[in-house]
Amino acid sequence: MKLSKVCVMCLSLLIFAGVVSAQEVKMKKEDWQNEMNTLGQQQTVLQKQIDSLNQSITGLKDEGAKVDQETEEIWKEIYAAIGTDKAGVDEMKAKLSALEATINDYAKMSDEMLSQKIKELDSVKALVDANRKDRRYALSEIYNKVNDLSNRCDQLIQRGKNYMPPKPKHDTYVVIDGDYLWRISSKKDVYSDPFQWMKIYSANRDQIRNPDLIFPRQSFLIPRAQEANEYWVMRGDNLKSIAQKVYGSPSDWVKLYNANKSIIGEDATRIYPHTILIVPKN
Amino acid sequence: MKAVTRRVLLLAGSLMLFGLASCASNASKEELQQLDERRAQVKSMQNKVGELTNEKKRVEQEVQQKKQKLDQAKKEKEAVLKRLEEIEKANQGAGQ
Repeated sequence: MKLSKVCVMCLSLLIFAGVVSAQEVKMKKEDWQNEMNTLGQQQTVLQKQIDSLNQSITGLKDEGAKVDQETEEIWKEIYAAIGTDKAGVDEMKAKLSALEATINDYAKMSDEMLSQKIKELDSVKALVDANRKDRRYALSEIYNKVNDLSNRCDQLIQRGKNYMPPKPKHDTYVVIDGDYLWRISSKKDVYSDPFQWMKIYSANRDQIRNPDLIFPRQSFLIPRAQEANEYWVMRGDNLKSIAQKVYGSPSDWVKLYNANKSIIGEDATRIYPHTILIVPKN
Repeated sequence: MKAVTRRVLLLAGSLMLFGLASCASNASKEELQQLDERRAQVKSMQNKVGELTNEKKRVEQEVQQKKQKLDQAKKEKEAVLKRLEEIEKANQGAGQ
């Protein structure tokens, strides 16, 4: 009986040991050997790749260093040819930068201002162009900069020269003995057209109470261009058509009439060509 | 009773023999550790190859850029020599 108990215990222990060992990672010796061999081969191949890459990189770095050296040699030759060094070139670049700043200031000016500064601009351009005699001008960077600045000076000078002062919107005329509005309007330096006397009358309504009565030494405005708040009456116009043009509504003719009653008179249906009407804001 | 005991003993003996045999055909713990180490080495080498490949590409690009600069310098030299002749002529013309 005792022996059988011992045997059952041994059996239980063996089964327990078997279960425990089954839970651990197991690998057949043969598989282990195969994988070790495969990994070993991979290591050999990888090591070759690493060596080859290291060799290539070293070679490339050497090549880069040679190229750098060659480039440096060429630049030394260039500087020798122009008779300066990098510091000399930098000095000229600084000089050109200062000129560029001056030109930028001129570029911000209006055309009218430029028209008054043409002589100054000519001097700046002369300073820029003087660099063309310098051997450093042979360098592309300097060459391009000098040409660019010179062109910009030309453009600014041209802008100044092209500036046309705006025509005055009014001239003045001083009445002499024997003048009347019809005669003044027909003069060459006024309108060369007697029928435009209404322009003079309506532009000077504060001075002229009666168009048939003007006095020597009176100074009249001679309108040359229509102002923003004016309408110059043309043949065929009437207050309704003008209101349509300026306000977009013919019914606003009353507004026009009220603002210009002194020049139109009592009859709103009769307006004359060349009358200058004041257009009140809508 | 004796017969049962004999059978149990026989079974136990067989199991022990089987267990011993199977233990002998599996890789040991040390061997498995060795395998893990080798795998790690291979992985590390693969990473190294990746890094070096990238490094090679970078250096290749760098060399390419340097070659371009060299070409530019050569062209610049030609242009400078040509312009210097023009400057000389212009200065001589202005001197006369």
